[in-house]
Amino acid sequence: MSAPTPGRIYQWTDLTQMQTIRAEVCVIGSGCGGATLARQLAMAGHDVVVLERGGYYPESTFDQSELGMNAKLSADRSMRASADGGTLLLSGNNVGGASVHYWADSYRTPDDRLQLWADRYGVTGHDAAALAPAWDEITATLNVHPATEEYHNRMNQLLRAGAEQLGWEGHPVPQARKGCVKSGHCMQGCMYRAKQSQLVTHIPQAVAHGARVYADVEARELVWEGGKVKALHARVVHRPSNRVSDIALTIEAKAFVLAAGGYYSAPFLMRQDGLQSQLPMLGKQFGMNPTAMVHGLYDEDIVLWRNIPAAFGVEHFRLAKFDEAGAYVEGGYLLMANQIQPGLLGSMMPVMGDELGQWMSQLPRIGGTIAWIDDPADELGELRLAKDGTPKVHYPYGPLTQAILRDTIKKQAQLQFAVGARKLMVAGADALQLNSPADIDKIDQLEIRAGGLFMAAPHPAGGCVMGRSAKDSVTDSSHRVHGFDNLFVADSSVFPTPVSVDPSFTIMAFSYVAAEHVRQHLG
Amino acid sequence: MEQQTAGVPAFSELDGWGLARRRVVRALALVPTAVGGSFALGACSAHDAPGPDGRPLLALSAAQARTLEAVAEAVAPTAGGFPSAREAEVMRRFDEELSFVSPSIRDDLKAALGVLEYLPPLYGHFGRFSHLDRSARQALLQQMCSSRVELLRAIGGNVKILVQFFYFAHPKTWAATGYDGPFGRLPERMDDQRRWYAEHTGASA
Repeated sequence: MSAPTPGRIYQWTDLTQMQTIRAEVCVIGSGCGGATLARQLAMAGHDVVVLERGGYYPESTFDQSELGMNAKLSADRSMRASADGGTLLLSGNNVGGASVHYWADSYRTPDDRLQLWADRYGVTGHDAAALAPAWDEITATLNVHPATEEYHNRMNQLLRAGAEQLGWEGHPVPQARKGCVKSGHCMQGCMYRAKQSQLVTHIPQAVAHGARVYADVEARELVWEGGKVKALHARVVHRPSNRVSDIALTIEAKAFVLAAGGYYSAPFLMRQDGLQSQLPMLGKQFGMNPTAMVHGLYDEDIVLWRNIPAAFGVEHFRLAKFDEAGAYVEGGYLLMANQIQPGLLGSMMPVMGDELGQWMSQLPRIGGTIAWIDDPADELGELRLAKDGTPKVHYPYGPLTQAILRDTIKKQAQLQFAVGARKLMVAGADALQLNSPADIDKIDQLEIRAGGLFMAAPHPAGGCVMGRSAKDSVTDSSHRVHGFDNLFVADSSVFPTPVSVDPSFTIMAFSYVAAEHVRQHLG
Repeated sequence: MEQQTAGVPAFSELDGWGLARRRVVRALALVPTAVGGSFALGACSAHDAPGPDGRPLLALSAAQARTLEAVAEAVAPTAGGFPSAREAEVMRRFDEELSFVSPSIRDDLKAALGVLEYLPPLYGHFGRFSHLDRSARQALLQQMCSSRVELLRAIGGNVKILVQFFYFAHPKTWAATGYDGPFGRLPERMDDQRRWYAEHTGASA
């Protein structure tokens, strides 16, 4: 058997003329969902093109600059907020998607979550047995392994010590890394090819098997007839100005796979003429793992910005607990050590002027924790379209969500005081400072509301949820959009609820399943 | 339709709040006038009036740039060897970042600066935000950030967060914080967009 003819990565400088591109499969998006699916199909011998709205930034363009890399890798430079202005929405905008700036945490989907999706939402073919072969293979491909001792920085050591002291269950977090140099720049893109993002794994593997990747291309309009998509109209993006040019591309393929990510896949379909009425669940059931942070000042150097971010994770509170009467007790989040460079840390400080200076002048001694909220299934939000066609997130922060946020702030405070924090600052507009464990009760008086806590949301899920019919979902369990023969979705937007752990490993495993269904369609 | 946080009164329900609703509404209604015209300008071409640093602006109007710089001056520390907001190029970076984001984000943040500039009379200050002394600006920002009105929290919070992000990410602040710089202290590798912005604002790339 002869070696496949390699494909290549095209950029805006290569795309100077209107043209029609033909392939068997067109994938929209190159993150964990799209790149994994493209790799699977290309390795199976199919002719695949991948479109990516963002640029192609190989490691040779990385410089670890906090602002510079944010501009290269992050959609809208991390400046998009929820409709209430209270939560920053983080996602990728580059070849490799959010995996290029993610933390590389690689959890398999908990069994209880897969069971929930099957029982409540009717998802089939995605149980642990079906996904295990994918996870086994990706574990090898991405070198996924629990973080070893040398990768626990001081904050992770303190987190582990605190969890042990308080009797909270936790473990080293599975990491997709190989030869990590502990630079601490996961969020700025790893220039050492150590973090096993899609940029250095599935994308080059797909290209080696013939896939063609088109960076700087914005997918715009699907052309379909009788439930069969015939073509996609796209435009080349002028990268220097980040404006869409008038250079039009038409992609003709036998199958189209939407993998634009949790924030963008549903809005893409909502912009298609008539689809919103055909698919009433478009944009619905949207979650995003909002985060809550507590900063601490310690007597020792913590140096929050070096080594890997989440070597240790407290999973004790992953699921919310309720009493026999159904009242909320505690939990509903993953608790981690925080890792942010000085710009982002400074931005999360709710004080200003010289008080801000007093905190930031002690930067090496500032530690911190962060929690990812497992959005309650009955309090999910909704994706709509802003006036310019971009995503607008409406998120209710319902009563249970508020209770979970309050609980995690208290638990973070409890843990940090237990391991020696001198004083704490809750990352929120009220600038609540705690000087001793006795102050933790003050958190009970903290008003939990949009814009009150400084939160970011890096893990969107839903909007094109998987289910039984168009009445309750957007796709069926074969990842096919209801009413279409050859239009699929393969990213976190198909999840009926958030995953309750970092979603990248779930996204990739789901893409293995999606790829198989696309293959069956292609015959 | 106003987005409301569960359990928190909507803006339209806050009759009992310290600032009378009609005064807020009237003030916000002034905003399009106050910043009007700038919305119509394309973000890719330089505005006629330069920014406070004398260089052309691409996203902000000169008035919006003055407001932003007034926020940055209020927020940035003055003691302990920290650089000024101007030295840390906060306003300039804000204009640059805004030049490349989606129009809805750009418009929202520009409108936020307009509201901020004309809000002080509602809090008992005579004069626009950029004309207040530093302590008054700090007090007003803190009031906005902890306001019961979601819109005001969003304006105050988001502008302040971005200003602090751009300030502490600037290398000139690192000596005062004890940050030892990016791993290996590599020089910046400018991308196409940084070069494009520099070319269009008269800065050397």
